[in-house]
Amino acid sequence: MKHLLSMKGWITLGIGLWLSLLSVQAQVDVEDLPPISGTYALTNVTVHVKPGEVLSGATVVIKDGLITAVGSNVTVPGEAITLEADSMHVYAGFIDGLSQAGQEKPERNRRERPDDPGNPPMEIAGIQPQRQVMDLIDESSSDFGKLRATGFTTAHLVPMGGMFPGQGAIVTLSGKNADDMRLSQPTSMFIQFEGASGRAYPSNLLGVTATFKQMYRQAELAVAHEVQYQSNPSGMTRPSYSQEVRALYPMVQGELPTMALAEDRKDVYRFLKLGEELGFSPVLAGVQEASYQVEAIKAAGAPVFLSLDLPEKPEEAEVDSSLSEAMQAEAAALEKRRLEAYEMAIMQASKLHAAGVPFGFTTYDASEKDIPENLKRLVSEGGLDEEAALEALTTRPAQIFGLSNMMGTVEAGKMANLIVSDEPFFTEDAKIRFVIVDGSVYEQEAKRKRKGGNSGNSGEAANVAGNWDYTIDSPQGKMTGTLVMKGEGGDYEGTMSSDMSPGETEISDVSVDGNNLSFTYSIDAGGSSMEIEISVEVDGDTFEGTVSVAQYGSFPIEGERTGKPE
Amino acid sequence: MQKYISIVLLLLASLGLWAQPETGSVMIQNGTVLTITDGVLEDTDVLIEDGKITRIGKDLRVPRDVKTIDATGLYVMPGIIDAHSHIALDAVNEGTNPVTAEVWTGDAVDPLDLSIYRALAGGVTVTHALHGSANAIGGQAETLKLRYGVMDPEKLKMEGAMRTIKFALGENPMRVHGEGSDKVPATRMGVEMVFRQAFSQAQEYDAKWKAYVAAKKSNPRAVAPEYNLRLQTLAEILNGEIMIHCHSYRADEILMLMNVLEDYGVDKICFQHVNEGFKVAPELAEFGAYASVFSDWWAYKFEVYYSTAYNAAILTENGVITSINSDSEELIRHLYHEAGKTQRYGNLTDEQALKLITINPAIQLGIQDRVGSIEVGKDGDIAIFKGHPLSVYAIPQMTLVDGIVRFDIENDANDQRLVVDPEEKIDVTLYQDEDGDHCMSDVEEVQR
Repeated sequence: MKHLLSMKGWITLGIGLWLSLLSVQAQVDVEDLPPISGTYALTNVTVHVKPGEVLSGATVVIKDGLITAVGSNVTVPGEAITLEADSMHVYAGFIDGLSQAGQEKPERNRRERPDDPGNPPMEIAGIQPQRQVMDLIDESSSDFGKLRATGFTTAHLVPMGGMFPGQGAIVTLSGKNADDMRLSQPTSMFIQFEGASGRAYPSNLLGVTATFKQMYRQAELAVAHEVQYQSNPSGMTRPSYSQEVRALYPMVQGELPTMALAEDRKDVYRFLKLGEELGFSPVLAGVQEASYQVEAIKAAGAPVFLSLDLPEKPEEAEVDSSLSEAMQAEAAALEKRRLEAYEMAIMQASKLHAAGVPFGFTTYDASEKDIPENLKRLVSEGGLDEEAALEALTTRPAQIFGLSNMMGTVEAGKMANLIVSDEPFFTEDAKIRFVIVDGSVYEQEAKRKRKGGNSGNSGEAANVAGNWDYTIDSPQGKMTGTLVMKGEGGDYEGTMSSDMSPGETEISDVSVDGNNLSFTYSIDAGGSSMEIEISVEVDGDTFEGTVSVAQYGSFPIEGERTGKPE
Repeated sequence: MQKYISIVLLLLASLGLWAQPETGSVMIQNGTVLTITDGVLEDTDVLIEDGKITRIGKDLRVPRDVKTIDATGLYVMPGIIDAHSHIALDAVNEGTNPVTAEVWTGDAVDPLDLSIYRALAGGVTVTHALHGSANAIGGQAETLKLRYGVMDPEKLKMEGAMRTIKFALGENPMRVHGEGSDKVPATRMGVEMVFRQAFSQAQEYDAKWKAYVAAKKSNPRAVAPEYNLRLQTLAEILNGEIMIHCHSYRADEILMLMNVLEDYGVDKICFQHVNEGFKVAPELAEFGAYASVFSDWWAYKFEVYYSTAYNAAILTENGVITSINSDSEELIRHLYHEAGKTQRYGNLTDEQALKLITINPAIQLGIQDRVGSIEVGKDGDIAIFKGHPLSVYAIPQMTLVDGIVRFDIENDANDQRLVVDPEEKIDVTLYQDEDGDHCMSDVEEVQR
């Protein structure tokens, strides 16, 4: 174990994959063309006006970013561009409760330990409540388009990093720059149980929770002082200036909602307790284990955003008949509990709904390619009522963010944030054909058949060029990094880099056979060279396989394509 | 401050409402009851109602709707208390600063830890979830009741338990901060300086706040001093609200800390490990300090070489309230064996030996009015053994917390996990029975 850790090069593992460009949902961005008109019409469509209200054979007219008419007897204005949406289904655009789209992950773990780990700079401590997320995003990031392609037209963005990463904003997923996107700011104080970088204070749950208490109470006293000082400064010491403490004033005064990342059941209990102790009411986001605490969440009355990052369904277990009877029985019992745990995960939304607890959804930590399917799984496998699902995607988040008069339904006067689906959204083969955000129309071509996808036996080599994020499940925990593959046909070259160390390593012996990709590279392990072999099977934009390291054995690796080659 | 006080009051009120533990009623019949504080009672019934022991006697009438447990031929003792444990915690050390009095293990309680169940299976009902020993002044601790099965961390906490805090002497804080970060303390002298500096700062802080509270009465425009949870907590130690539990080995350092505490007027202390306690037992007794020791664990680092298995007995005979602890998720499963060792090494009586894992640790945690013996009015925390608990043949049968059976050897499932990861595939733990050979040779292969 220790050897592996000390090997700087081990971390810079590399991997190559193919990329079948045609399998991507190609987007034709109408905004790239000069718009002839700002008026659009959807005719003979089924309008899902709001959860529980459907209009068939209706027309929707939007003009200059607003919905101007919805109904059966609507006249289409002469200047309107009629979208090819006949007999399709129109929904209000989805609202994402928590997203970190458009931000680079902070390189927190690479940071060196500060001289005084007990008293690090605020940035290292992760205490930056004064930051605004809109100052931190890359407005040209492809994240926004990817999120939009899944049906989300509005997102609540929050900053990354530390216990007090900063303040959130509501954005529309259109526009070319941050100013166009911004709907309102600030909308929340984002908090999480995340320790400092560089092995400094607060390093874990203990120090982080204590620091929440320290700063909150400090801010309460500071507010009281400030108020008195503002009314009459004469004879009174000046309030001390700390931008971090001052940033908390709206939080302690109840003017800015607090959004807490509460993924597992303990996070939820801890944030509810902390809120109760300090006097704030957290919005719980990223929740994954609500099935185990429905009553607690209901009693707290806290707004909830459930995670769309769902576990994969356990495969039907194959009983290994060579095992003894006792072993087979144990294996079966373990699998049964795993399946039960899966069902609890997939049923959290329906369980909350059955208990009368309203909720929204967040795409936090969910892969965009899984989002539409996961939404459908919540309905088909998790037993979630379709109306409840639609409510969670539209009207409920609009209500939580105080945007109900602007969005969440397909009604005249609302922002033109719409999704057009070729079939009812929650049916299995339904495809989103248009996403309309703030009046801008994004057309999505129907998914075409993959050229090389799932045709591993044909021997036809697919295109694996692109940038891929990989994760290796090593004995030291998860290692992540990026693989860049360049070239085409049978001729590839590439580099591997790691999130944990700088630099990149050239790969060699690249072989593409059907859907199987393999390559090797060597690293310098303390003076001697070490050979690393990677072999993966590619499926569309993802791959799975193994990493083999000379005498250390094999570890699982998986990856996801994040972009085209530069 | 006013606002802060009102928040504290609100918190206390809400604790009362929130943390009502689930309780049970049960009659344990015909057992040999090891009361700890009132001798051994043969063929005796113990009645628990709504989580409290309400009657102890022979042939008690079973109230309506109260279930019975037949303890004929079995030993009934109070639930075992471990005064030094780190189970059921998601974080143990905030090891980034020599003083972290502000942190609290109560913020990191993990009710899903499987070790809770394993400890119950060893008759343990209460653990003292201590902060680690990385810092000279570590964090505050939480006393837990092992209510296996609850999901809410708050429900594992022993409501109303005394507040405690971890201190540490010697090599651990020196290594972490001296060697690790080139900070004080790098030496044992440095550790003493850290204590004195922290206490002096706390005195100043306390004085500032007291002055502010006084000034506020006549001057509504008085400005509150800057709030500091670390100094606030240290001031509460000085004011006797928090008992110190100090990781310690060497006699000279133990004397040093008692001197420091005397200078600052602190008298509530329990020394943990205290391997050289036998050298200063009279001094500990005179100070009124408690000792919580290992039965026979030593020589794992230089400062722990000078040790003896007679430590618990010597401390006990010198009048020091002594307990035996585990500091381990493994040892916690057989603390009754650990207590039994004091009969081989020190000839303690049954009652003396059992006190080491019951009423004595209860005193050290300030919960002796609630647990640690079988007495009317105390909590229904009970461990039932087949074989005397100090015998090497003892086997725990059933463990109750607040009158609820949380462990029963008859209903011990193979898989007692409270949390299952749907994406984690676990290999079977059993190994193949090849050629009728039960040796362990293939274990590794199968486990991989």
